[in-house]
Amino acid sequence: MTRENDANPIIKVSDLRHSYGAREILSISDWELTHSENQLLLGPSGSGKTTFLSILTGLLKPTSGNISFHINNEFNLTTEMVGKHIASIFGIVFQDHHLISSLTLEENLRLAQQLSKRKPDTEWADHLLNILGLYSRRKDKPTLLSRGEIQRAAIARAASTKPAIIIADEPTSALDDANCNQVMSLLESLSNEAGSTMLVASHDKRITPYFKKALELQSPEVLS
Amino acid sequence: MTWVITKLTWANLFNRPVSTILTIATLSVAVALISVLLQFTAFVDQRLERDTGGVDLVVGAKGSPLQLVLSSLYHIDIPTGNIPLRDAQSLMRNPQVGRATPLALGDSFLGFRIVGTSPDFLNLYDAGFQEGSIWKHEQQVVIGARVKQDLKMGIGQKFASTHGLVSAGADASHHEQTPYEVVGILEPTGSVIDRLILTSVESVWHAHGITHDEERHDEERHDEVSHEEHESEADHTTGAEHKHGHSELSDIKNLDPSGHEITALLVEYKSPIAAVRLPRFVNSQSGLQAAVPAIEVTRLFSLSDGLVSGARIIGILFILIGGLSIFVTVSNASAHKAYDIALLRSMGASPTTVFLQQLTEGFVIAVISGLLGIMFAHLLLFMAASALPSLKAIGLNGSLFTIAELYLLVATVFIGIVAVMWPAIRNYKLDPIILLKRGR
Repeated sequence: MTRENDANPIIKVSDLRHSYGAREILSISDWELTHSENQLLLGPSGSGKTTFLSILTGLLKPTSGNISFHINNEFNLTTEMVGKHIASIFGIVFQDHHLISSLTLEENLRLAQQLSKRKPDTEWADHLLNILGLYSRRKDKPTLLSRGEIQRAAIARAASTKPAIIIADEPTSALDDANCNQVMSLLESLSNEAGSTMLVASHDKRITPYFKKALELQSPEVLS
Repeated sequence: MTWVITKLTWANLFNRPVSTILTIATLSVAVALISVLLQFTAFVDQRLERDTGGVDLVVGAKGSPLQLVLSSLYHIDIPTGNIPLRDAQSLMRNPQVGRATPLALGDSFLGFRIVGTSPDFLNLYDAGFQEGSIWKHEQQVVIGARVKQDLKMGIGQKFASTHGLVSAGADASHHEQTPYEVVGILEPTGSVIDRLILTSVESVWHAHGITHDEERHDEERHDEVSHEEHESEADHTTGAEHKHGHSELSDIKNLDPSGHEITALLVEYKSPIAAVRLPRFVNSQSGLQAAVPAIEVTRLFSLSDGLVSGARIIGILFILIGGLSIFVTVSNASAHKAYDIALLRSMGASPTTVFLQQLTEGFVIAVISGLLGIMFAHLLLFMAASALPSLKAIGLNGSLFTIAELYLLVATVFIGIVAVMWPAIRNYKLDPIILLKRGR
């Protein structure tokens, strides 16, 4: 997949609103994510970070607004189409670093590559496991791994497809400073190596130095 | 998509081995039970049909018609008695009779029945020779393939028969003075003839001290039928050494019937109209009984119908329990796997892929269970036949595969797929957003 010019936004959002009943929980008038410009979505719990990520990844339909994707020359996707291309656009690190429990580490990575409809890249998967210190555990299932190893494996899986955007949801919650820095460094270096742009949703202000740009979301009380 | 479905299916099955094994075991046992029943009924159907040998009517002494059929066709019961040879000869000459094969029963050898008959008996079962030839003299016998195999008998071997049709006991009386000699061994036919020792009717009479020195030949008929045969006989002699093939010994139709009896007559009709007239004619005669094998076999089946149906219902119940077991296993697993499935969806797996993967799990469990069940049933019958001589004797040894077992496999797979349909639909509808909302 060829990338758009660095200056062009890969996601552009305008007048995006989402409500649950009469309660509006998300309102973004204008926002864009540019290639290689990692961004932070900052905001307290309930500020709509997860809702925004869900809308971006096509898992949730917004109440109103426009989102356009310009991933490469072949893609000019509407939100409806994003769901179909989710695997090639996004690599997602969920808050609880979920992995498929019945598969080994390397199978988790292979599965992600298979679902992205790209040719499986074993060399890249092995490289990821190596630099994350998981190569020796590649035949183990998630139940045999420590929490830290699972977290690193989840990052490896997200990067394994070399997606356009790596999304991380609260990657540093409940981590001490040393581990917080380690995880963010890993995410940053792997995003760079994979050619991906990083979008992190967090309420953790310790990680702001890793981003040049941040979107601060307001809590619903402020919105109303 | 194929890799994803295959990988996840195997991984899921191996990830919970105890549950998978228990589910497969439950369903396999159910399939095995039904498979044994199917094999048994198919075997009995096939065996009874083959053993009937195209015989339309069995004529014997008055008594139970079922007993007459069982003893004369299937050789598994005691005969109802004997009938005068004169009456039998009269029937043999009846224009409605196509072929009539006499039977003289009463002796056995090491549990295998000796049947005095005519060479026509071999034609009923399309039996050919693997060694030797048909009897030419009294006290010569032809043995079935199973007799040869079980008793390790060969051409030229002599033996003394035992009076009675059951296995020889310590006090059984033997016909030591009239030993038999094996002159022919039949090819296996898969029918009752494999288990019989065949000889001429005269041999059986001889063994029981009944002579037929006064036998007279119908010279006219003799000339017509056997003249060419006489000319071609290499060992053609005269007087006491007169040997002109088997027809002379077994031409019961032309013997002086005085003082002679046979056990039964196996009749084939000349025309369909005989089916209406002949049984009635036979039954009208004192001391004679006509039994129609088709009617008696149907009656026999009706006796065991309830038992077989009951066992079949139990088998079907077992299969339904097996299906329920698949449902519970897959349903529980999928409830625990909600986040796995949501993750799959967030990684790009379509709802259809998730749905098909779940169906594949049910399909694989059902196919493995079905195949194992059928294999287990055949193995069980094979082992039973090895341990129980009675099963081995009748040839029920698990080697019979029927089309009904294929239907059983298809039905098992269908149940397996239906059982996982509900969890599959639930997963199809699962909203992957639960992953992002988790813990909030």
